[in-house]
Amino acid sequence: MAGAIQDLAELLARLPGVGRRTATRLVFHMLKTNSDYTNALGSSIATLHEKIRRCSTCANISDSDPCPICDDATRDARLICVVESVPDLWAIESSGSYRGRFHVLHGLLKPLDGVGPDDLNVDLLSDRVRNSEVEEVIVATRQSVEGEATALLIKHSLTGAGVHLTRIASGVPHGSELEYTDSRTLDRAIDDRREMK
Amino acid sequence: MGRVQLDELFLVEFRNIHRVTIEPSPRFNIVSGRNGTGKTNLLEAIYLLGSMRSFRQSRRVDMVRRGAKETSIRGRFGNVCAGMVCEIKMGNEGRQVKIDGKRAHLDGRYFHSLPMVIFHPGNLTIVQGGPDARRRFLDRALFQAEISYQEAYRSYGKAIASRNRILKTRPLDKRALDSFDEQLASHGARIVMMRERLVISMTPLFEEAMERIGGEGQSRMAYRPKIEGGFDKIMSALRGAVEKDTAMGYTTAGPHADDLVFEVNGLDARKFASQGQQRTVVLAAKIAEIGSLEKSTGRTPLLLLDDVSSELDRDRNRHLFGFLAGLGGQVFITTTHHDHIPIEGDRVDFFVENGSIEVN
Ligand SMILES: Nc1ncnc2c1ncn2[C@@H]1O[C@H](COP(=O)(O)OP(=O)(O)O)[C@@H](O)[C@H]1O
Ligand SMILES: [Mg+2]
Ligand SMILES: [Zn+2]
Repeated sequence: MAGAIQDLAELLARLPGVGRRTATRLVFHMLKTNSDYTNALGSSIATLHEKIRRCSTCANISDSDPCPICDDATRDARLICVVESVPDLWAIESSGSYRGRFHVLHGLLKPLDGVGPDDLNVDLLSDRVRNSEVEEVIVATRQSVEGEATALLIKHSLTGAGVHLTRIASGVPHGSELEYTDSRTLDRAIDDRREMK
Repeated sequence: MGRVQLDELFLVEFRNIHRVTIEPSPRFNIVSGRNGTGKTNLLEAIYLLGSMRSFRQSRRVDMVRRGAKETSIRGRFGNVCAGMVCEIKMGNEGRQVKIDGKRAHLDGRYFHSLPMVIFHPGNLTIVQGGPDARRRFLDRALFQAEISYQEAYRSYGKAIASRNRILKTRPLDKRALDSFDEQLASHGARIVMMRERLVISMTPLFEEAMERIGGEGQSRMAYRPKIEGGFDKIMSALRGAVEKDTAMGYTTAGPHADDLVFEVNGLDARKFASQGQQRTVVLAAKIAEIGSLEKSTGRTPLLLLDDVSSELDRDRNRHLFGFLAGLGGQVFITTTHHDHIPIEGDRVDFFVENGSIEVN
């Protein structure tokens, strides 16, 4: 049985963490609110893809290219923190004390899922480091086999670039995503970073 | 020394057992009954609580009673385990484990706190089988002996699966390969180190047991890593094998190919020992495992002996029961005839019939 309600519910149910029951409840909730809200929601969704840019410097995702972080002259351009995802970048941002720039890989080296070095923004990072005033690169991928392998890939691609390469400290629980790590632990992990051998 | 002591076991829809509660003795529990009545099933359930895996290498669904949807195994552990309650629920949906009523995250600490040793007729493969059977023997002991072994083992498994996938993909991605070699070497070195430590602690116990049981003279056990040495040696072996590995499509050297040898009178027991000597070797290896786990975990492991009396001859039986009497732990022994078990005091007898269990 198709209809506007079912159509929308089905689309919503494709979102992560949303089951059919929740999707239906959301649709009925929207029906009860006034149409200003649903119009705003609809056009936000409709224009999401065209408004969003991938930063050509750091691969962060935002409304602009360069992204607000790369565009912020008060941030320390000598320091780059490499993260696996945008949510990880946000987690470090909201923990508050980091004032350098970022580089987003959009993934980890995962041969078992067919993700290789060319699928990550490692070459972009290498070019960026070699053509700017960067002094230190902090690798903040998670401490799992794939996270460590990715850290090594970065190390190999930066040999001879003349930068300090550091790794966040092991305060972050083994294998867990930065996104789900509390901000004090995250701050400490960055403060206590160690030289990569 | 404290011990792993199961004070109460509650089973629902496990194998051929519909619903059973038992309160075992802190020392000897003799489980008797005819063949096919459910004795081994009972030991399997207890072993599951300590290791989260079946010693029969069964699939999860096979352990749910035919016709039932879900099985539940609940154990309350006393003595040094301080009344901890562990409950496993298994069914088509998967597995759920609760410790003291709360969803449990099972890390190495859990297995370290509940050491158990199973001794059953299938253990003869430790001597007669291939290197994989002997690695499994070491690995199972190490999941309990070393808190970080499980994490090292899983990480190594992930690293080698990733590396093998890279080796199979054309064109070969050298950058990706290099990135995983170091992971393989660092987790591999941890595995080798912990296996060496275990074998070193088992060796004197093994030799002593061999001498006492069989009077076999010169017996030895030794770990034979495919690559001797630590991180650097493994790294250079991996680098040196790239061409061969690429041709084969998998990683040829590393702790996943290691072996353990048992020698009787200077000869490899797998190839040269008699059946009787091989049984002695297995018994001595198990006794060494118990002693070594006692040292590393600080508690006497719970012992599960499945049908061993029928496997061992008179002398070996006498030795085994002499050893058990001196060990302060809790023991479960299955047998077809309860009067075959030469244990006097401290024993509770259970009789199994068609999945139901009676105490006498
Ligand atoms: N999932 C199951 N559902 C019902 N019965 C089972 C299941 N798995 C095994 N059994 C039964 O359990 C019995 C074997 O029990 P087992 O403990 O091995 O016997 P024994 O007393 O000889 O050690 C067999 O009769 C077998 O049919
Ligand atoms: Mg049996
Ligand atoms: Zn940017």
